[in-house]
Amino acid sequence: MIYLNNAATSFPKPAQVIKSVNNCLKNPIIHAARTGLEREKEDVIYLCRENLAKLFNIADPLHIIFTSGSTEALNLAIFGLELRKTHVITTATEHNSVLRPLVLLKKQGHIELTIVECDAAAFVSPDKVTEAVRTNTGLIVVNHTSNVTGTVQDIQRLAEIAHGCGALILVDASQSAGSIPIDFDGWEIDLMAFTGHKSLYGIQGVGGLCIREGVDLKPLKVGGTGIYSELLEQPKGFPIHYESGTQNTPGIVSILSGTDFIFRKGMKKIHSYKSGLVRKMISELKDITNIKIYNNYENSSYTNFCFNIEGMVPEEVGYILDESFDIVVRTGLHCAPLLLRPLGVAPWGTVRASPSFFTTEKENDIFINAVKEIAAMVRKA
Amino acid sequence: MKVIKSKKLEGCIEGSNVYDLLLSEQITKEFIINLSKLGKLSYHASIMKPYFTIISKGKFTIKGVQGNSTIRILLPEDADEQLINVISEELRSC
Repeated sequence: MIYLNNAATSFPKPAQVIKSVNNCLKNPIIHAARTGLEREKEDVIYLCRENLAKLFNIADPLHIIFTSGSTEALNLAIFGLELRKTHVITTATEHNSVLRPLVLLKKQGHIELTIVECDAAAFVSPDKVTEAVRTNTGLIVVNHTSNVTGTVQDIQRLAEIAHGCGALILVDASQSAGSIPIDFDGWEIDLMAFTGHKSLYGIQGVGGLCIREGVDLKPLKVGGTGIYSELLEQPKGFPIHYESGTQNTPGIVSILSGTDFIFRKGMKKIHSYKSGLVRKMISELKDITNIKIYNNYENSSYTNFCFNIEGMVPEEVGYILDESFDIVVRTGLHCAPLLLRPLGVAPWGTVRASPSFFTTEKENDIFINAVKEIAAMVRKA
Repeated sequence: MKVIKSKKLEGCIEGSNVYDLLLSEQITKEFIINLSKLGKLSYHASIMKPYFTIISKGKFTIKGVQGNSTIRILLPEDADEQLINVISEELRSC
């Protein structure tokens, strides 16, 4: 099988991730906060926060909260902020994990919502965001990198716009975390959600939310924290105010090991290899008359190859790639339904091929030839 | 050819009435040609493992790949789900 669905979940995982998760399951789990300083060097949860703080440029690792993934992190941010009677701005590039919580709040009458359109390359003009600002704008929610086209938004500029009108900025870094540079402190991001199972090379079921000091955020859940057990109210302070219940330690260990892998290999080198594969897909397929490509633009991260074959619905292309060539891609809306219109791909969506650092050049060529064969087949039909 | 197992696909963007059928044997060219009695056959031998569709307009679409042992059946949104059993019976004689 050739797996080209890494924008959904990365596969395979680095050998060291598999080994560390395996070791985690074979040994007792040590948490320094519950066992004392002697064990601090073995506190994998804190070590993981340190790695993520280094990767995202966050001064205080304790401001990184672990969750079950991006969806929970985004729910924590959106439902945890006091947004009643405020205006929220988001974009047409968003995933349903942002759109659905916001639309729910709007439907309940709690917020006003503006969804700013993007262009045909899925880029959101900061000027259009500025135009959408109202006197009661309290939050801007934006996807750092589109899971469909790989388009990268100008987060620093959008954060300036948010702060210029007294609003907060919440960034969905599900696709970008571990893939391209993020400067949480430098860009003055207020809240940022990430997941572990994509470019951080972790397993499914773990992610987190980075929270700037001073952001007033209610926890999504309360309960046992292992410390301050004499308190009948949720303890204050980072990170325990937001982390109730037993942590997903195997998941956190997988991110610790995955981020170690990124540091060892170099994020730039990993990205350069992946984007090289995508650029080859584009250069080999862009001149084929019935292939339309949606991610060959200036602001693309070139981590996804997003395309259609004219005359065949994307699901059918995906079916043939899977059944005839044993190649796994993703087809359809990719949980980002508002991108259909700007990309001009309603109602079927697109085919998305997302290689990884472990995709070989030979596998990439097999995919390219498979797409050529299917496109030729459609032309003849 | 017998149908061993039938599974309705959830969240399939091609429609809400889509089934994958596991067959008792691998799909041969002869079987595909026999299937053409059910509808219009498109057989694409140019790709690595030949891909085919059988379209009975307004009733169903069957698609699959020669050498595999599963086929996919697309029914119209308002089709009676029993139609999948009727098609399964038809496959026995192909």
